[in-house]
This record gives sequence, C-alpha cells and structure tokens, in this order.
Amino acid sequence: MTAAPRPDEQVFRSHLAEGPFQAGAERRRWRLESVAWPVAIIAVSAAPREGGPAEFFFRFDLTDYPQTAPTAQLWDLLSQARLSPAKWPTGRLRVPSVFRPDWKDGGCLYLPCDRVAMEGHDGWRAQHPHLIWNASRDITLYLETVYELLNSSDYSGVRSA
Amino acid sequence: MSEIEVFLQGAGISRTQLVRLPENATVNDLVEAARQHGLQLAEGEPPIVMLEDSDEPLPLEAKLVDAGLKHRGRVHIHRCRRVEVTVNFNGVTKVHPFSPGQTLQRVKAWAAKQFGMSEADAAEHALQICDSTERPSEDTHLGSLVTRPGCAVCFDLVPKQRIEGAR
Repeated sequence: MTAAPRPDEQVFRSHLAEGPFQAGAERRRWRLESVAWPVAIIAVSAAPREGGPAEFFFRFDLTDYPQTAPTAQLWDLLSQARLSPAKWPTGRLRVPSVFRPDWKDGGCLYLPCDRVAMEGHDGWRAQHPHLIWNASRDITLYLETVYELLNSSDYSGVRSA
Repeated sequence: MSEIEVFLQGAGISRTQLVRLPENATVNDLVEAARQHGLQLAEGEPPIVMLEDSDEPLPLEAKLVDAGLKHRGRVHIHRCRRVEVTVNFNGVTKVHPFSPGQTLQRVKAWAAKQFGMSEADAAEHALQICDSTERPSEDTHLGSLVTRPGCAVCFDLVPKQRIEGAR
C-alpha cells in the first residue's frame, strides 16, 4: 500500500495545480520536471544568449513547505548532480550576485526567499521585504524571482561562454 | 462535456485563480464562479468582465468561446471601468487611466516611456505599491490591487536592487 503524502507534499502539489504556478507554466516560464518528496526538479526558462541554454534546472528541497522556505540549487539532469560552475548563469550585476558558486559551495541561490541563504542575513528583511518567504507564499515567489533574473537585461549567458 | 479553463483575476482576488467551466458556459457563469473564488462586488454592482490587456467589456450573456475567450485565457472581473494609475519616479508624478484588466507589465512600459527610460533601464525597475513594500508580479492585473472606495492605484517606480551581504 502506498503511504499518503505528507502534509507538506500535499500543499506543494495543490500549489502546482493552482493559478499562479499554472499561469507561469502556460507562459512557458517554468515547468515541473519531477517530484520525489521532499525534492522537486523545476526548469526555468532563460532568455536566448549565445552559448546559453533555453532553460536551467533547479533542484528544490521543499521540506516543511510552505511553513519553511524552499532552498534550491542549479542542477544537471544528465549527471544528477549540482551543475558545473562553468554552466552557471552570469551577468553584469544582479545575476552574478544571486548565482554564486562560491557561496555555500554552490548549494543554494543567494536569495532572500531561499532558506539556506537567509541564515545570517536578517538585514535582508528590511532591504528586500518583497522577497522574504512566509507561510502564505508559494513556490512561484522563488520561480518568478529566478525567471526575472534569467530574462533580464542583466543576464548575459553562462560563465564559460 | 468538455471544459474550458480560465485564469481569473479580479476585485478581491489576490491570487490568480484557475477556474474550470463547461465549454458552453456564459460570461455570467464565469462571474458566478468568480464569486466562489473571492470576487468582491457589492449588491447591485454590475460586473465588468474583460480579457487581459483589453479595454472592451465582454457581454454578460455571451458564451465564453463566442466572447473570444480561449482555453486557458486570462480574464479580469471588476466594478471599475477604469483605474486611475499614479506612478512616482524621481520626484515626478504621472497619472493615466487604465482598464482594470491591464497587466502591470503594460503599466510599467507606459511609465518607462513617460519618464524617458530605455527598455534596458525599465527592465531594471519595478512598480512598488505606494507606502508599502509590495512589488506585485508584472502579470498582476491592475484591478486586483484596487481597494475601495475608489478606482485608483499608486506606484513608485523603484530600482531592482542587487542582493548583497556576506562575501
């Protein structure tokens, strides 16, 4: 017999079916690749850049969602491992400040809505209040933030290009 | 019977709703469904239903498909026919009426033009609701941000900041 999904997984799956996630998916901004709780792999589309991919994959750890913020890392689907830093997105100012292979060994994105990055950054609550996670948020806060960066004029492609 | 899915925003609906209706449903049926999803219209207040980024109200008796709504199309329902938008930037204020179903993306494009910004500069700015820290998504319909009793929204056009902290 299959065990019933945990409450955090149930909430996440309900959010996947709701308007905000589906509206972004409909615009081809992101798409769900897989869920193996508490991990979800989601692809986020990127603007065309020479040598850059059409989308980047993110491995989300969604433990205790949505009471606790997600954390995500860039993911290589083929090797099932963290994406090599040479393939990370980069840019002029805002993009490289978020996609930092040097930060926590590339284990998370440097974003206020990422639970790992948020540790020790209480100042972000005042500096970036619109990016702070709370239990009324859903995964689209994270996805919209990443999508905006990967489709901004700041984004220039991948590091190795 | 097959269904039509509609992405719905409107007065009192803070999150986009995905509503499923029979394919032969009317615009009125959509309004009734929207009430179940939090649409706030006072007694006797006529609903104004518009396609996203459109200025023309849909006839309430029309079938959704005849009114031009496609599967997974986007609709806004509101009491206001127009929303007066104020945008502040660098001590200058611009005001313009928009349809409540206009996206913030359209509003920002208008504001950027008013303030003489290049497309690249505009992409590095966001609309933030006045006297708040809220920066709604650019897919948000204006009407979703209107609070009673008026039909107006005020924004500051603010720069998107780099995330900084520990090195």
